[in-house]
Amino acid sequence: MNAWNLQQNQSGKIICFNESTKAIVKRLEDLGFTQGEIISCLKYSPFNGPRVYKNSHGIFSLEEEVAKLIEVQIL
Amino acid sequence: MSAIAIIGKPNSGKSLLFNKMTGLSQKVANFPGVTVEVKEGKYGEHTLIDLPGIYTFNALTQDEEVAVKKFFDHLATHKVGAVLCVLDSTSLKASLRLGLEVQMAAAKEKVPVIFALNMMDVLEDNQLRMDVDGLAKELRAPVIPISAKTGNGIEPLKHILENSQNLKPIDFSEINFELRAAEIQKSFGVNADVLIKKQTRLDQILLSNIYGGFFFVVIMLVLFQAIFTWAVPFMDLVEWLIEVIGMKAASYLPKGWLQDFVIEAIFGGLGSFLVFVPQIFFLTFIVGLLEDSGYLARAAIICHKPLKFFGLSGKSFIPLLSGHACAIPAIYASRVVESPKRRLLTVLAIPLMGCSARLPVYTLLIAAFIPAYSFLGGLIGLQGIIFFSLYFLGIIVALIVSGVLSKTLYKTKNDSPFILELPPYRLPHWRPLLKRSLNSCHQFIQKAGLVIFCVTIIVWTLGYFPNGSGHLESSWLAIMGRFIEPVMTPLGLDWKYGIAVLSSFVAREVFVGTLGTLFGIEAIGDDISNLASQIQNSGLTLGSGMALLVFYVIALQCVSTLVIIRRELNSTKTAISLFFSYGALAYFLAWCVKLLIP
Repeated sequence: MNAWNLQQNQSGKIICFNESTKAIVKRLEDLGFTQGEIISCLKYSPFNGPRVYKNSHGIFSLEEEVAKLIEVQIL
Repeated sequence: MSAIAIIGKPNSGKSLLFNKMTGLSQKVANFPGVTVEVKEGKYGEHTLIDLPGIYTFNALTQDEEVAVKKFFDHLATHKVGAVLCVLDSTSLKASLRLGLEVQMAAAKEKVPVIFALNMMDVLEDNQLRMDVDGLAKELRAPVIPISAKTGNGIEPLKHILENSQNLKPIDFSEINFELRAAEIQKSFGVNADVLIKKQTRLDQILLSNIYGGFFFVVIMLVLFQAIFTWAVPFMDLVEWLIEVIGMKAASYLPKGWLQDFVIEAIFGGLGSFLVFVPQIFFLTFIVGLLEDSGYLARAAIICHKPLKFFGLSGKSFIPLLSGHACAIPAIYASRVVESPKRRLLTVLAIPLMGCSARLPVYTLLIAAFIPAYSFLGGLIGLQGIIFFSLYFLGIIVALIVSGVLSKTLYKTKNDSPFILELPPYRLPHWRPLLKRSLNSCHQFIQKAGLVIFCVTIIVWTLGYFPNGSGHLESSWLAIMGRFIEPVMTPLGLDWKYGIAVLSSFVAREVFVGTLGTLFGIEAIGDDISNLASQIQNSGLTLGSGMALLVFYVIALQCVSTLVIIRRELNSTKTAISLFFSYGALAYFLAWCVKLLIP
C-alpha cells in the first residue's frame, strides 16, 4: 500500500520508501515524509494530477510517481 | 560593519522582511521559490543579504544550490557577522528543521544566529499563542516575534541586529535535526490545524474535479479581459494627455523640420507606445494578485498533468504565466523547476508567451482589423476574445514545441519529480503589489523608451529627408525598404511594414513606434485609433494583418531575452538556434495564414 492509494481524508503511517534515487527520498525526508510519520491525503486534484498530502511540516502536493514511493500502513 | 545573511525556508517571508528593512522592492509573492537570486540591500550601516529559500542544506533546485553555496561561502570568508534566520510561526517544525542546521553551521564558524519568528499576525488573528521566551531559551539565541506584513516587531529586531556583535556564538553538537525540531514544536509550537482547515475548505472548491478547471479558465479569462477591455478608459486618458501635451509643445515651435520632428517622431512614435502603459499595469497587478493569494500554486497542480504530457511540469506554469509580463524575470523564475530537462523546455517555451512588449502590436493590429463588438453589457468584447486567442495560440505553439523537443532532442535528459509545498491562502499585501505594478510600468518605459526613441529618430530622419514631410515614397527609408520588400511580399506587406518588422527585432514594441513615425510623416496622427485607421487605409488586407499578428506571436524579437537565455542555459548555440527557428516558424505560419485568409 502506498500514499497514492490513500483515499481522500484517509491517513497512513509511513513504513519505508520504495526503491528510488537517493536525492528524491532525501528531499521527501527533508519535507517531513520520514519513517513513522503520519500523513493524510487531503485532496485529489483535477485530471488525476498531483494529490495534496498533510504531514507535520505542512501541506504538500506530490505527483503519482512520488506518492507511490512512500509505503504506508493505513490507520 | 559586516553583513547579515537572511536565510529561511521558502515562503517564510524573508524577502518581505528584507524589503521592510532596506526600503527596496524585491519581488515577493505567496508561493515557494520566488527569490531565485541572492539580493543585497543597505539597512543603516549594515548590508543585508537575502538568500533564496531552502528546506535544508541538501539542495535540489538551482536556486537552492545558489543559496547553500553563498551561505557557506559567506560563513567561511566571514563576510557575514551574523545570520538572521526567519522562522514561520505557523509551521514551526519545518522552519526549525532548517533553523537548527543553520545554527550548527554558523556555530562552527563562530557566527551568531538571530531568529525572527515571522507571521505572528496570523497567530494573533486565530487567537493562537506561543511561548517565545521559552523558545529563545531552548534555542540559546534571540528569538524576535515579528510580522513582516504589518511591520510589528521589526524595530526590536533592528535593535538586536545592531548589537549583534555582542552576541556570543554557541557550541553546537551533532543532533538529529528532524527529531529535535519535533521536540521543540511539541513544547513551544502551536496547533496549526485551525489554519489548515481554512485552507482545505477553499481547496475543496478550487482543486475540485468539477469546479477546479472551471475556476482556472474563468480566472485566466478575467486576466485577459482586464488587460484589453478594462484598461481602455485609462489608455484613453493617456492618449488624451499625449495629444494635449503634443499640441501645446508644437504651438511653441516654429514651422519646419523641428515642429515636424516633435509631432511626428516624438508624439507619433514614442507617444503611441506610452498609451500601452495602463495595460502593463493591469497585467502585472492581476498576476501579482494571483501570486500573493496563493492561487498560483493551486494552478500549478491543476496544470501539472496536462503540462507533463508536453514535457513540462506544473511548476513551469508559474514562469510561463510570468512570461506574459516579461520573459526575462520568467526565465529566472524557471529555476524553481527541479528537473533539468523540464527547466530547459520551460526556458525554451517562455519566449512564446505573449509578453507585455507584444501588447502594443496586438492592440494596434486588433484595433485595425477587428470590429469593437461587445457582449454582456460591455463586459466582454470581441477584440478581447481575439486578444485571448493570440495569447492562446502562443501557449499552443509553446506546448507543441516542448512536446516535440521532449520526445526528440531532449529525450535522454534526466528528470525529477513534482513535489510542491502548498502555501496558505492569504490576502494580498496591497502596497507592495501596487509598488510592484508601478515599478514594472517604470521598467517598461525605461527599458523600451530609450530604444524606441533612438529607433524613432533614425526612422524619422531616413523617412523625412531628402524631400521633407509628405514625400515618404521618395525618402531614403523608402529606398532601403524596397530592398527588403521581396521578403515581405509573400505576406502581402509593403516596404513600410518591412521596415517596422525589421526595426522591431531590437524590441517588439518598436513596431508601433516605427509605424507611428512612418504614417506620421505622411499625415499627422498621434493616437492609436488614428494609426489603426491609417493601417486600414494603407490597403493592408485582413489576411496580411492576421499574418502579421501570427508572426509576432511566434518570432523571438527581443535581444535582452536572447542574452538571458544564453546566460541561463550557458549555450550561445541554443540561443542562436532558438532565434532562427522561431523566426522561420513565425514566417512560415504567417505565410500559411496569408494563403488561408484572402
